[in-house]
Amino acid sequence: MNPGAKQAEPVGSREREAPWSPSARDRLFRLAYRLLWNRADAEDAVQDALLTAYEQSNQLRDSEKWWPWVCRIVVQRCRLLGRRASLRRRHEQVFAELSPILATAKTPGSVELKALVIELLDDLPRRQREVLVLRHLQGMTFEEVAQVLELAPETARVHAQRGRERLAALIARRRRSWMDGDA
Amino acid sequence: MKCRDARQRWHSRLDQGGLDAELDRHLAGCEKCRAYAARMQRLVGLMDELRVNTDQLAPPVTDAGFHSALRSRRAWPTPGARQLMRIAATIVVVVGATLWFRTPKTPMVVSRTTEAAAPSVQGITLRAESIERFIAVAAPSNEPNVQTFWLYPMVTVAESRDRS
Repeated sequence: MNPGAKQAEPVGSREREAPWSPSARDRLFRLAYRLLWNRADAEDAVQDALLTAYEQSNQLRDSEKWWPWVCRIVVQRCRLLGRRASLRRRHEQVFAELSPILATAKTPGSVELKALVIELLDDLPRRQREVLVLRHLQGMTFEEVAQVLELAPETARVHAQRGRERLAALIARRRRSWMDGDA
Repeated sequence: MKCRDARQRWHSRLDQGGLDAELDRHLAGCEKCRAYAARMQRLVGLMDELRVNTDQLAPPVTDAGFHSALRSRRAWPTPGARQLMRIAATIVVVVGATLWFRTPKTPMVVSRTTEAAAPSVQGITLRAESIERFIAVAAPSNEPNVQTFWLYPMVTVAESRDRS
């Protein structure tokens, strides 16, 4: 089978796009990066997930579920890689890795505070972290989040609320001034 | 409205949109909930900024790199070959199990040949010059394969009188 043949499929909505098309791959990379916050690990996760998806593509009966299915594989790869990475991740590392990205961004904001958010996301329970990343950082709807994580949309909403509350409490514990509205 | 309900409704409004006048009234009158909502709004804003900051990231993986990785992965065993191997392994297991359970099993017995007791004939010669005939009377014996006979000499009355 020629991998290029898959790219010739109609690319309409995001869901119907072949996962190994360049734009889809970029989105998957960003998803992996936002879960792992490490470029090398994210590349590994996406590469591995795409190869797996390509090999198992005949098992997917409903072509409408392409995109959530591939995203789910990426999330699963990230879980495995993240378990190892989180042990060695420290605030300084996250800050050092992200500073160039955040500094050149159009909305730099408080680089340190955003690095703290990334670090503390790692302290959340897995489900809450994944829902927050998919919803707020990846910009998925709750229906998409629910499909990727195999949850009910309402459950995803509950995880999101608890995750936001917990993350805010963790930030407040580390940065007392943040409670008073200091960005 | 209780504060707990108000906070839940704040999150629902964030996630699903829409208007909630009752919630707004509660926030206007509750300082704690107002501070809570402000904190949450700042957090959501931070995460939105993070999304924007990382939106331009792209992997350095090229199509050629992906396809070469795919080729090396497909070299051996290919997915088709793996599938065939799975089927073959399943067949072997099923056939083996069938044969194993259907073959009648004879208990393993150490063969012990019991030699049939060959009739042992032992000739006994009794020498008694004056006695020509004997009467054999079978006597009880506790040992297997051993038959005991009591032998009584047969003598005539005349011979008996002569001996006495």
